[in-house]
Amino acid sequence: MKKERRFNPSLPNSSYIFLIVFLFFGITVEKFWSPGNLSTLLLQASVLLTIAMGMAIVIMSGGVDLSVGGTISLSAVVAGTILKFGGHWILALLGAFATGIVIGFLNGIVIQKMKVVPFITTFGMANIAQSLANVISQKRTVYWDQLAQNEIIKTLSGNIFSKQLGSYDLAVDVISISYISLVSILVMIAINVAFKKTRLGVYVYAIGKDQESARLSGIKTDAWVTGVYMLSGFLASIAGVMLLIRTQSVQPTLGEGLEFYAVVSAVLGGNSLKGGKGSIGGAILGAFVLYTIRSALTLEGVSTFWVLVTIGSVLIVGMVINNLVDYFERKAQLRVKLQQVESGLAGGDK
Amino acid sequence: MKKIISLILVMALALVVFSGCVSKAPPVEDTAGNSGDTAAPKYKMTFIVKSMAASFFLDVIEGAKAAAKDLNIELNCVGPETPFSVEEQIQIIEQSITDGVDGVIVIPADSEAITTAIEKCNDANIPVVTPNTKANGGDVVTWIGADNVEVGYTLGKIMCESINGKGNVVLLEGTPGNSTAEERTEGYKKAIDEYPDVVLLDSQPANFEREAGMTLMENFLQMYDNIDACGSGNKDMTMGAIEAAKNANRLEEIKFITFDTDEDVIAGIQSGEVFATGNQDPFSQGYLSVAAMFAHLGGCRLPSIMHLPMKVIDSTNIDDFVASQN
Repeated sequence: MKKERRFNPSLPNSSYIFLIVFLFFGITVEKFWSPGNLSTLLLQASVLLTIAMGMAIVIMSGGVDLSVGGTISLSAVVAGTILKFGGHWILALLGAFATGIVIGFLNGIVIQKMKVVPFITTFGMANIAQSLANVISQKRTVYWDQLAQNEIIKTLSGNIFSKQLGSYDLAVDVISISYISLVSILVMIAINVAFKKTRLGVYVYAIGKDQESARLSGIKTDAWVTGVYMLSGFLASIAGVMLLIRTQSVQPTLGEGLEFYAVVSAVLGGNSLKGGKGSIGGAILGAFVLYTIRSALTLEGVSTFWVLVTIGSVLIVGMVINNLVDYFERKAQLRVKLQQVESGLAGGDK
Repeated sequence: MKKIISLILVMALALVVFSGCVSKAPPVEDTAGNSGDTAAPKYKMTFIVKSMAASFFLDVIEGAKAAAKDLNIELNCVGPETPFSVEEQIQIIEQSITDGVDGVIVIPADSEAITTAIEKCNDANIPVVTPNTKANGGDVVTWIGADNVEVGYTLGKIMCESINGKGNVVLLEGTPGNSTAEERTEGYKKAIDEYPDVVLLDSQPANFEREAGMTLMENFLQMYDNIDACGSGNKDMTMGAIEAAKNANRLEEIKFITFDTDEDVIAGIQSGEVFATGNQDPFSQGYLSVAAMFAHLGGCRLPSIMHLPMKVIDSTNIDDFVASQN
């Protein structure tokens, strides 16, 4: 029985892929260890890290959230529009978060109460959200005047220490990280703690494995699944705000396609699309795998098309490695069981 | 045992995939100069375009590479994976700063959003040149390109003249938020205003993309029974719009005015599907921006704006143009 509850594997499968990719590029790409590259890598991966965690939890609960990209666009457009009309930055943030949470809530309600499959529900919601973003922004980039009360939006786009110390300094740049990276690290810690230390983790695995038995054993599945989608929507809205801060403006389509990368990160991280299995740490490593590849290939001057070829190949090869790792684990477990049975038989024989 | 062998095979496959990509892709040395007679490249630059999937930018890159070869510069030409993604352009610029390049040449996918990245270059003392599309902020050495309001205005006048100053027209705008799109549209509208009998039915963005142009034109054809001419911010949108008009059997009634020249457009003008286009010479934009960066690094002072002339091409001079290209 103990073996069945494998919800806390010691090492996510993607750590192997990450190690391979990281070592490979660390050795072959000469600029890979250059000052600043790793902090730049973290900065660029921040957005993907944030949504990949939400995606991982949704996938573990047996669903998928394709509305992440649309949610990012819409929540960023909402925040940008509030700033444009001179609203306070706190209001803009709340507007963005509320947008994400409401979209997640609607996803959850439609999936649980109206029994529409997650794939279709969230796909539809992605289009609704993206189109609303286009309508609100009239398909034009949203800018705002730099008001004194909203100066923080500008400040947050920089690095933590370099602004205080004034001028640009490479050494400072290396040790300091950007505010955006800091936010993503905090979110990572919060989500991991919530997942490991509260009922969230156990319930998500239970629901993902078999929703009906989870319900029969007293878990309020409707509430928890809706909550999971709301969490994913909330994380997507944080990602939207990150992108807003990064570009100091909002392109109405800025979230387009990001849900694909989030799914890839989660799946690379060993999250089975069948649900009930996987880890958040795996999704985080999966996101890092994607950005390590991108950053290394860009440094190397490889053309864009080959970057996509590589990412596609890594996904497929990564899945093969994931399956192999699973296979070996299962085999090891079987061997242990077999030994137990054999010793049991030997015991019963006497 | 079988499993171990398959594991090794997978690892080997992974290595082949990675190393294959690194070595097969166009290496930077490609543009590093004529081997042998020249020394190691003196400068290292990054050239960032809006999209690697649009022929216009491939022509720009061709020009840039030619300049890099002539001037012995190590040039890395890249574009975002998602076409026209300014966020990815910012990432590439950050990477270039890390990489310690001598200069960054970027065609901004969004004039406003790119400024944060340009400011980062300014902080790191890396000069920036923006060909084709302007940036709204940050210190830029120079901007090189066609005067896009003038481009729109000239094309707009040709469009109005083509229907003898009377009729219904629609406009396909480029990607919102970047100066080329907005200035060309502004120029078109300025010209249309001068013709009281020309009615602008609708003007919407189709993001410089062929597919978006086709979708938008399909909508226009549904909405409006009479369209006499269609102006566009670039040729990809027009080619899509022509497909839409063909499918609706309304190709004959609409005069298409577009911008940029490549094989598609040349064939279109020769067959009469395209009425006229403008040539802004992408090769020169690429070549000159690398050369301008080279001059700047060598200590030259440059004007902040460099306008390249635009040439109108229609059925009367298409043969001369084709001859001059070869």
